Amino acid sequence: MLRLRELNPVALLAAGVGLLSLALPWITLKPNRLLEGTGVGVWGLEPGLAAALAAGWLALPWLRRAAYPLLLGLLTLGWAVLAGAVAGDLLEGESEVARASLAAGFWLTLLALYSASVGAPPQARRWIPLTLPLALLVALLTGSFRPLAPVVEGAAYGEQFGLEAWRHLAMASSAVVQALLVGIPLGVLAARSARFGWVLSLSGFLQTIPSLALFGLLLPILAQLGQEVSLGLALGVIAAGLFLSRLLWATSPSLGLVVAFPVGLLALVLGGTLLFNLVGPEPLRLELSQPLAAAGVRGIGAAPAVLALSLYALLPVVISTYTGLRAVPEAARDAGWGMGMSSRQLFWRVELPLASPLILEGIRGALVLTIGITTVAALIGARGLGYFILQGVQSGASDMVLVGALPVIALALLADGLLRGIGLALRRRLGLLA
Amino acid sequence: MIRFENVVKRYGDFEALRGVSLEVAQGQVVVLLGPSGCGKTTLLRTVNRLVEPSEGTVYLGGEDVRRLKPEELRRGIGYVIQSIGLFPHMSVLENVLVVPRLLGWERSRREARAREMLRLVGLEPAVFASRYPRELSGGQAQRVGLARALAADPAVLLMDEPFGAVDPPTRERLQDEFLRLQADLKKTVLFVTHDLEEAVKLADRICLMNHGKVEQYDEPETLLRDPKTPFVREFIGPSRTLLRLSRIPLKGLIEPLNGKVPAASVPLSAMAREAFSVLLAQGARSVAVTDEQGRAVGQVRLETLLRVASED
Ligand SMILES: Nc1ncnc2c1ncn2[C@@H]1O[C@H](COP(=O)(O)OP(=O)(O)OP(=O)(O)O)[C@@H](O)[C@H]1O
Ligand SMILES: [Mg+2]
Repeated sequence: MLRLRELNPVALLAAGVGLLSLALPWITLKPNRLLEGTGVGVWGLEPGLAAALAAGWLALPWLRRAAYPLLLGLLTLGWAVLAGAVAGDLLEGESEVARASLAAGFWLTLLALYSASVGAPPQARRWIPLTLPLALLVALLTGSFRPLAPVVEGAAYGEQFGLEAWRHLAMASSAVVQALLVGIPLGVLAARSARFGWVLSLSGFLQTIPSLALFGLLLPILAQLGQEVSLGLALGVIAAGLFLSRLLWATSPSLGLVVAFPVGLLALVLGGTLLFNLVGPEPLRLELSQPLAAAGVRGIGAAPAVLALSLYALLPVVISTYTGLRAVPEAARDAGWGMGMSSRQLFWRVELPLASPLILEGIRGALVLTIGITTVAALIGARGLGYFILQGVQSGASDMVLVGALPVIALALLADGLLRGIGLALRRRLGLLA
Repeated sequence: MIRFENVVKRYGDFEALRGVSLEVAQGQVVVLLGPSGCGKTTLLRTVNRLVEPSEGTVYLGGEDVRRLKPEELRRGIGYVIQSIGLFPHMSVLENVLVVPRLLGWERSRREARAREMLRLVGLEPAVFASRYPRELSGGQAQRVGLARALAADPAVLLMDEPFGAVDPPTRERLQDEFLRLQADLKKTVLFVTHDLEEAVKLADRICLMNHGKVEQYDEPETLLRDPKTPFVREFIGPSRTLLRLSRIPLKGLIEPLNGKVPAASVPLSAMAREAFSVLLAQGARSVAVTDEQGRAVGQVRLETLLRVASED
């Protein structure tokens, strides 16, 4: 039996918060989506479930090993089932437009669950990524969340919800892919030679530009570009410019970059738009003689959004590439030279593999960041999940805001977990981990 | 095999090498010895062009190294760097395979060779091949570094304090194994150390350096017996007598046993220094010499040792 002072303090705190939250209202019943409502607690409607949850919280701090994540999974499932049940009870007999909004107790329990998962005892930690998602999945499949207002609002959009989520991911991933294509080479340059130190400050500076200002700046430029330049011409300019800058590079790298810079921006505009159209829900139409607008390059919409997001995602990629390469042990580099590697062989066989775990961390950062800020794309008509947030804010319906916000958070967490997993596998594969 | 001709290396105003001329004969072990910062590593690295001399020329097998492509030159020279420098993301086997792979050896040949090299340096491939550098002890890592340098069978080996980072007993064992290997392989070796004792033990010739210049280049016996400059005398210090004994085989000093066998004994293959240490430790005046079967075949007396140590 554990004594009190051996108890895990974080789990103890989480349990306290969890118990406290059971005393608060969980659901606010509103006559319709805009009107105020009254908060309702859980004990009156679902005393059995509430008691079970309370018992679970009381037991949690005493558990170790597999029992802890197992109970945490059950608590998560209980949280979803309880909220759904209370909402279902309340909505019975109410009109179609009545809404069961989420109240303090619901959120506070979520916070408690999160804290408990972060503060899991070391021996139990590895099972958390299994039991928590599993519990959420069961809750989803059994329809526990269905009576809750954000889900009702989201469902009302029908197919459009899935479409916006798709669009959101398409914009974010296009931007990240572009940031990688540009950012990794720039990071390599910065790590190689102090002359390219400005690359770091530039990507830092780009992040400080407010997105609205950037959109305002891009709008007239992209609008004109889209109307007056054909796809064929743009591709020709890009190809010629890259060729020219490659030639100049041999004599003066700085001069090469001066040429590459505007060409690179044009390539980013076009590349981002094409990538988005390739993976997004809009069908891609390509004709070389048509103006760029036909391929999606316009003052508003996905083109400026993806461009801006690409620029924002540059910083984590550049910085991590730079730091990763700088952190390669001098001895390994020296041994590589000494063994007779060419600088290219040294890069691919020694420097890049050793830097790759850090670069992957940068990609993770870029992806999570971009999934979050893609919500601003809605401001310039590019839609995505930010569309629901904007609608909710404009109509003063907080549940609508959640229709957009909750999936964004879920996607970001998912991407985060996925890339963490890949990073772990990579480090194990490289022998850098026990 | 290796010839330095008036090699100068400047870093800005600072002269790391101030006109070094030196010749290393084929199959010899030449030890570059000297205090920290005297230019040993710099001189060593002019051979494989990791350092380009500001003046002077380095010849390898009669050819100016500047006439060879750096990559090809380096692939033909075994190099053990000062900090071992194993690639942390490659297994032991992959580390040893690096140069054969760069040379485009066929897979089965290079793997067989790598395993052979691991066995040669005393690491069982079945145990160590798939380990990663962070799973090795310091001594094991040094061995892998040596196996990696030997993998492509280079005629020339550059070793920069290869046994620097291990405890004294391991160090001694590695030195013994190096001598055993060298007796078979007969490589031309440039070996950097700042440990006088290590130099005396391993060298065919010692090149004692100071401030980027060669102070004396001689066989260890000569260096110890006849220091040419005050710096050399001071560097060798009071331990020169003892060190000289460590170069003299016991074999030539044996006298017949006259009746009683001394209690203490040393093996026939030992150096005079070992017998001396035993005598000091036991406070005895003579020590028995035993053959491989442990039979006493003769004795060595303290007087004999003192006489050869002070001989000029
Ligand atoms: N790249 C460089 N730039 C400037 N000075 C250097 C450089 N490399 C070496 N030096 C200087 O040259 C001198 C000789 O260095 P070197 O590494 O050859 O010494 P060493 O004899 O190998 O010393 P240690 O025993 O400490 O390894 C030192 O004073 C060092 O500071
Ligand atoms: Mg050195």
